[in-house]
Amino acid sequence: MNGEPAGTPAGADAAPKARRRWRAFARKRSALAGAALVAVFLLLALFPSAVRALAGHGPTAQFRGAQFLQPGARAGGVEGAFWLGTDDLGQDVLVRLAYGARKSLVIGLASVALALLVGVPLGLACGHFGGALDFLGMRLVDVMLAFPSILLAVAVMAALGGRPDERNVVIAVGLVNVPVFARQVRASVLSVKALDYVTACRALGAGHLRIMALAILPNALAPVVVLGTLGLGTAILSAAGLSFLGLGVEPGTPEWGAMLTKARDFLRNAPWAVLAPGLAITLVVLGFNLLGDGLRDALDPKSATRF
Amino acid sequence: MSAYALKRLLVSLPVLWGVTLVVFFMVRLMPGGPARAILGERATAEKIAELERVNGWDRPLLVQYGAFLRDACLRFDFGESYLRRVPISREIRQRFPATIELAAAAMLLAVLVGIPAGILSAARRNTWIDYASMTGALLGVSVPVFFLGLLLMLAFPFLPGGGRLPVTMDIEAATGFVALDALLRGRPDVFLAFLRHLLLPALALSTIPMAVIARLTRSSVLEILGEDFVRTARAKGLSERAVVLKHALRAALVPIVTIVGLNFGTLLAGAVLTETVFQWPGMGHYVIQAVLSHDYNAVQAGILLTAAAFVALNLAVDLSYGVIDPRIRFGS
Repeated sequence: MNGEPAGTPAGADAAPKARRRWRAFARKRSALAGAALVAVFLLLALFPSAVRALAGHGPTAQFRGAQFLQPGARAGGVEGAFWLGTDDLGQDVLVRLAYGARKSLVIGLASVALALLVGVPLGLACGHFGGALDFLGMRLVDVMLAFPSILLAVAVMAALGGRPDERNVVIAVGLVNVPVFARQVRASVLSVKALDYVTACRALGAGHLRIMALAILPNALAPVVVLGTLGLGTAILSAAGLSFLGLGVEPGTPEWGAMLTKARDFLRNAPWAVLAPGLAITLVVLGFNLLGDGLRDALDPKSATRF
Repeated sequence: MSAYALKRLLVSLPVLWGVTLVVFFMVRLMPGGPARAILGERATAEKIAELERVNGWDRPLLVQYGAFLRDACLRFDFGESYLRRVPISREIRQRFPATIELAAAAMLLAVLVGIPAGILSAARRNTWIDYASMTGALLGVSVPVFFLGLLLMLAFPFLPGGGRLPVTMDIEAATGFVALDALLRGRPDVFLAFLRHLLLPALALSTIPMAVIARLTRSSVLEILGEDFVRTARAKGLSERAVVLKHALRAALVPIVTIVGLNFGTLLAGAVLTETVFQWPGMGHYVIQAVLSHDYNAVQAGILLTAAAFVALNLAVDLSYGVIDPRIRFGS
């Protein structure tokens, strides 16, 4: 589908290429569905105060005597209805869900940013310089991949104090995703290293940094974008998982994983308190998966997942 | 041993060594030190020093690492649990079989459902069966396993939602595997109770590998169905069922076996969340409890063993791949 060779310097014929990619993306209904899910999530995460305004109370406002209310119920003396019911402390599940979306987005973005900041330079350096640096770097990646991701995240949390702490969650989830980015970037580097225009750059006297930034990085970009999208979904899932285990955000914080842990204790009394955050996580992760798959097919048809 | 097997083995060793390094430093490089983390902010200097002395954390790092390698890695002596004052190796010997039981049951379910689903999808490509099962597979990898566990508990309230056996039941350990022990001691009631307790967690844990196996089987079979030898079989007049099941499936099995093997390792370690949801007394649950109670010797032991098992399983899969596919062994 893509006519140009893999190593074309960026900017050559960007406009028609971009249009072609958009069409390839839009053609897949699942990718559009994913984009829609992600868009809804972003709206909720960016404007939770709108939900708060509609409901009339905040995520940590507790209403005595209004515990375990069903979705849509009202309580005496309270303005709005509780559209998704209340939990064991009489807190509005819907408002907590909205603020949880923001929390998930922030943690997810921060973790992926950390993974990119560490993983991309690592992969670039290993692929470009090769030799001992490559060997050591890739062994480090191998060791990190030797741990199942949830276990590595738990280990990092333990090493950072073993207490619920948002900053540590970002570090843990970010570190777990570093090997994925490093490996991918390194592979991209290796695939263009031998091409003529890179050799030409070198012959013209370009320094290492220039070569990496101008010639190599643009070609590594597409797979990194795909991995970043998929990674955002995984990061949100991992952060929720850590919170569920009691190692994530501080207890009481409106966050989807933490809401699930608490709701487990009153599963039969208030199943909506479990269903709401659980479905939220599922739909968001699904959205990012579909979006990432769609991006992968559009940006690099050679690796298209034939379902 | 073939060159391939030797190479795989040699590559695994530095990774294992790296794992011991990570686990070792993880505990010792904590901010403030492990003793302070255990005793809390208001601990006196004497108490901290005492705890450090007892656990050997005051010795030079190199000496500690040497002792760690000797005791933990060679002798499987991980010291005592800080809270319960019992040898950690004993606790682990009770916990590990529980995780293996759960992982094995989950993998069995994943294979029993995933492979037929994949074959059916491939055979009925682009029909509603295909779309339905592949959508199911996509959902399978998107639903968080801890949410799924809770959903299952909601959906099946008559099934037990916690533990490996009812609180009132117990079985003398012979092998450590409750199912085997129950059969060996002639206790079918314990065996059945165990199965009832195993069902929901195994189901929850099986969804991700089930989805992966279904997708892979489908694409694998589809690829094979396009091959020449399949066309020949069809031309010979064989029924579609014979073509798919007798000829295509055999060829498609190779990558499937690899995936099953690789996923088993992931299951073993990823059971952490499932074990927590269902209070299943396995290694994952053990590690989490240890982390939450700052029992660092236990944390160290748990993570080291689980990671080592993961590496060993991946190595086993790599080696078996060499056996199954001669091209790998002799380097085509």
